Amino acid sequence: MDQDRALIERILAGDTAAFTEFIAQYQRLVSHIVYRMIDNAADREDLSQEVFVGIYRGLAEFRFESKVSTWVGRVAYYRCLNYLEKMKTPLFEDLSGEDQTIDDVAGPALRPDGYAEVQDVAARVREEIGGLPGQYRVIVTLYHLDEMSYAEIGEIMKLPEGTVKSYLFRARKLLKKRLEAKYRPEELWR
Amino acid sequence: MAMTHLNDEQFQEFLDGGRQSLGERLAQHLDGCPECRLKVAAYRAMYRRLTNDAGFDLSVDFAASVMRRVELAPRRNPWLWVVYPAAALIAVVTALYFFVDLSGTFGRLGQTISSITGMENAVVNSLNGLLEGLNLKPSLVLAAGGMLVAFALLERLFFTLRRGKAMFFA
Repeated sequence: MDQDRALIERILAGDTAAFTEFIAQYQRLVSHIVYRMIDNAADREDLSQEVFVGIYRGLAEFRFESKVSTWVGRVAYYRCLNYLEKMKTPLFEDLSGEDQTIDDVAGPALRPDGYAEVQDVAARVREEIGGLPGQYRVIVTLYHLDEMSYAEIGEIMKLPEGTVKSYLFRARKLLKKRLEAKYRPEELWR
Repeated sequence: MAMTHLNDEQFQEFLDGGRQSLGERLAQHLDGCPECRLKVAAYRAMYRRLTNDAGFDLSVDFAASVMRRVELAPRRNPWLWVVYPAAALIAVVTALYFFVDLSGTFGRLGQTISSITGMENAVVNSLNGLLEGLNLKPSLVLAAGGMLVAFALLERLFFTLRRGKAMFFA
């Protein structure tokens, strides 16, 4: 926190190199949120840049009442929500996806034994995450990739901790169910 | 002893929070149940995939691109936000004090309030005392207020032009 404060003070004093450092420190987090929320690959980079421009302009108003990472995450999350709203893309589509049947979730290219070919497991998992409801995608990503706590995720998304936990459990259960419906477990989880 | 298997939530609780999050009875079941252990292994493998996920690469010159945009959208000095209310306050107070007959403006109600509270006299006396104490002439105060207002407007214009916005009062 002290390092973050020192870095922000340098930026506010006009040190542009300090902001480059700031970008390097938080671009991973921003890209995780933007890439998970925005399907249109062409807009992701631009949107990520906009997040940092917004952060730069609003830096003087940051009061260190939360962790910098939480604040950065919140800016990115709400920037994406604004984008989706502008594009009329519903992020909060139904969160009842876990009730889908296997027929609903199985992909087209299945082998005679009913399972799809596993070529790149990581890519398949990523594809299935992309098929989850938006909030699930963000929560799974922030928890597993950015190692954030329920409280931090809740602060970013303005959700109660209990809801974050519940969504996370449902998301992982749904993801596992969808993957196992398409691929042989021994190939998938090797 | 017959016992039901762990459910999905319990597998996840175990992987997130460790053995103690399950309680002794469920933990013992897990130790001795091959079926549950297989399911835990599947969840564990999925967790590993989620933790090692990649594919979020921004362009190599991402930071440079942001910096270019930042230069076009300069950050506003926070203290400048004080200038606007201060300029407005000085302008209003000065104008009221020197050019407006408050008793006429507010009429009978103003006079009544003033006579009851004595506030008008107190304010006028305070301002007079302040000006005399600081050895300031009213024209100097007016000039200072005017300069502050002009500075605020110029800063606004300069900032807006640098941002490349067409609207002056965006």
